[in-house]
Amino acid sequence: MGKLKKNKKDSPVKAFILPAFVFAVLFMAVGFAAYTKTLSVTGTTTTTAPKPLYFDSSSFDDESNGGTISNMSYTGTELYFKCVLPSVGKTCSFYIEVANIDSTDYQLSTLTMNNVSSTYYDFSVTLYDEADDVVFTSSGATGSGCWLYGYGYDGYLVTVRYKSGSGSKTLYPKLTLGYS
Amino acid sequence: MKKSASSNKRKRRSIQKRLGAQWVALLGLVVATLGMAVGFAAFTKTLNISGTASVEKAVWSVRWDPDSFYEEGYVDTTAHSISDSSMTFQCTLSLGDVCGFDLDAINEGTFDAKLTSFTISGPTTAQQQYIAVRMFSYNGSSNLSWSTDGTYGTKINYGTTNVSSSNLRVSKMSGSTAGRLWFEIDAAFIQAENVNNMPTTNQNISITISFKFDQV
Repeated sequence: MGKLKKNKKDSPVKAFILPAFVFAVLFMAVGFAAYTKTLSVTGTTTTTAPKPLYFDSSSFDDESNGGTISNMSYTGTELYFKCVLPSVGKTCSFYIEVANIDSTDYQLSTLTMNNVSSTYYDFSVTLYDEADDVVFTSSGATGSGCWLYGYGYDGYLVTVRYKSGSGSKTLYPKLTLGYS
Repeated sequence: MKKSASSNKRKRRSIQKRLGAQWVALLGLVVATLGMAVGFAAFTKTLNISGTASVEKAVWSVRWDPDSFYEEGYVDTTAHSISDSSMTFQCTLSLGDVCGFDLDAINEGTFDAKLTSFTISGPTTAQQQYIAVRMFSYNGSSNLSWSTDGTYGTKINYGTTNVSSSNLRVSKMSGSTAGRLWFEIDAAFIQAENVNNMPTTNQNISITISFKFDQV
């Protein structure tokens, strides 16, 4: 005769307590899970494609010496800014890039600086492209090779210097690039 | 003999007299006891205090507050709608433009809540190069900010960002004042690092940001 085995069916743990615990845990889990909330924000932004060539405002870097640049605005390859020069010898100067998001290569054909009198101010625009550095000044351009290749950038250093006169001066230069 | 008989008679009478007196005394005691019992019973009073304790039900209520909407004024986002759990807006961006607005999440429940994570989805991989999402948050004591282009706060990627559990709690209702978490949400059309990724045609880009709040 072996030992008498305990009848497991009689165990109250299995019969009642365990199911009760399981139920309680599940119930609490469901209860806690309910206390979550998701709030959403959904927006539709329509982006207007830029022109194939445009001044890239994110590349702007102020390199002025004594002058103050403000109110920069860009329309494709036109650029406007306000320049305050407190005295003779001071400069407003900045670096900026033109982006070409087209696969086509473009060549710089014209460069125009408006609203800057060459009598009182010197201005220069130095173009850094992959071939050469080309400098356009108030007295004419030097150098050659002005290609802006497809999916590429050209960098420009624009400088306006107070040459002669008296007192503080405020200018509103406009730089226009013509590509073909 | 005669004397003895009369003596016995006297004795018997005396005993009978004593027994009668005892019965009277016993009866008197019974009556007195009953009387006192009735008397004491009459001097019993029960005083009651009754109260009703109302236990307010637990409420879990976190939602957008439409009255808190404020356009930041860069680019028009007046075309918008706000419900308890969702907000939609629309704006048109040129390169360099930003559209943005303020919107509060409020907690009118009986539990503190916290922002545990948020998920930004919608733009394609190419669009993610030139559409930036920037967000600022403030709950009255802590502020956090994030941006996909690294312009402000923590630089994040599209997808899910977890928020530290110790920050950005939204207090439960206190009196008539709801807990509040302020958001500024901006979308910006930026220059892609690689010009190949810039759009050459107009694009309609859907951006969805889901904020997950949990009970503290």
